[in-house]
Amino acid sequence: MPPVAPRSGDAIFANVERVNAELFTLTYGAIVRQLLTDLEEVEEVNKQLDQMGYNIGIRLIDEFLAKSNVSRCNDFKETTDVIAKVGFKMFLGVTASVTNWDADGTCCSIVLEDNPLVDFVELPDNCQGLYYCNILSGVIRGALDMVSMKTEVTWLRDVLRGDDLFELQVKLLKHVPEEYPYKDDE
Amino acid sequence: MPRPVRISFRALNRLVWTAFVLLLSNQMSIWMLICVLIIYCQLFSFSVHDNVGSGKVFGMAAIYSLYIINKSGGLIYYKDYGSAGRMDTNDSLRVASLWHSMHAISQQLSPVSGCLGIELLQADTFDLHCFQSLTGTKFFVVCEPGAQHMENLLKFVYELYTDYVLKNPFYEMEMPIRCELFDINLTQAVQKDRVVFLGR
Repeated sequence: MPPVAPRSGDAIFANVERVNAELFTLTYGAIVRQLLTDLEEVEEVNKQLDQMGYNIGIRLIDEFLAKSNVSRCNDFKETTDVIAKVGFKMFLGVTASVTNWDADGTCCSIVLEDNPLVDFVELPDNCQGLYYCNILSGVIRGALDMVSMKTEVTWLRDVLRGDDLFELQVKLLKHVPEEYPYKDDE
Repeated sequence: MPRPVRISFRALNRLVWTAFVLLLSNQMSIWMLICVLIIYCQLFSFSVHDNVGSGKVFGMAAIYSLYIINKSGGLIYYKDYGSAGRMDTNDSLRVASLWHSMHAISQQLSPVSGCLGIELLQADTFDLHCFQSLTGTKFFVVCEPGAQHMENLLKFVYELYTDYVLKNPFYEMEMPIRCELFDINLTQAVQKDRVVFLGR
């Protein structure tokens, strides 16, 4: 059987079930608000959002692979490209771009111009340290973890903090090859 | 009367032979060889009820059973269809872990790098189609020899798995699947006319 061609982000987005963007945005807002009430510390909320994102990511990756038909990426550049062009489109309905590659190709920025999560959000003064969209960085980290890439994902720019764009830095820490239960020298 | 399955002996002989050659050329440890030998022996010893044709439940070609194994080789889902090839829990667990090891060894045996493991095992009484997702979960189906479109079926099962298992907040990753919605949708998918898979 010939391999099935990978589908474009738009094609998948048109086919998956969608919910009202406002409902989604408001639900996410309610979650963040509740976390702030429960945990009180902004730093803790950042951590919790990242962890929640991670837990989503490790499950989401399979859906992404199943529905997009993308095959194994040859290098990290291709991986980030797929995340930005197909992944963001499929799950958030927006496209991102990849820039700021470092010399050895292990660190880059994913730039989002549009982000449905923040449609109605203004950060109050007592929450200035909050990374409101920290769940997204967790999702990316979790998803890449499942395809044997250890990464570190951090926000460099955030519209809510007065920047002009959203910029996520994705840094490849190491490639964990699939492990076999036996080693040659053991 | 159960009798041992005849899994392409020629292929298995070649597997063992290759293992020896690799051992001689120092590319493979003695442990791996032992692994191959154990699998070789095990395959001869387990038996399934072998009555081809009686499992024809779904029109075109019969599916005997479906397995899902997690990335560490544990069986997380097993379902059989019809009377042929029905196994008890122990046997199905054994088949799953055997297949996991066979799959891993086949990747190591490949002379060129980047081998993704066995996709199809053909025997005179059954075919075994395997699909491994990039995250390491393996789906495999044991069916009548020559059954068509099994790749599409497995791909579809993968989609069902992402929809009804992974999205279930009460499902714990890597654990046995006990999701009713998954069962229902899987049964429908398998029973539905194969046209669904042809068109995909």
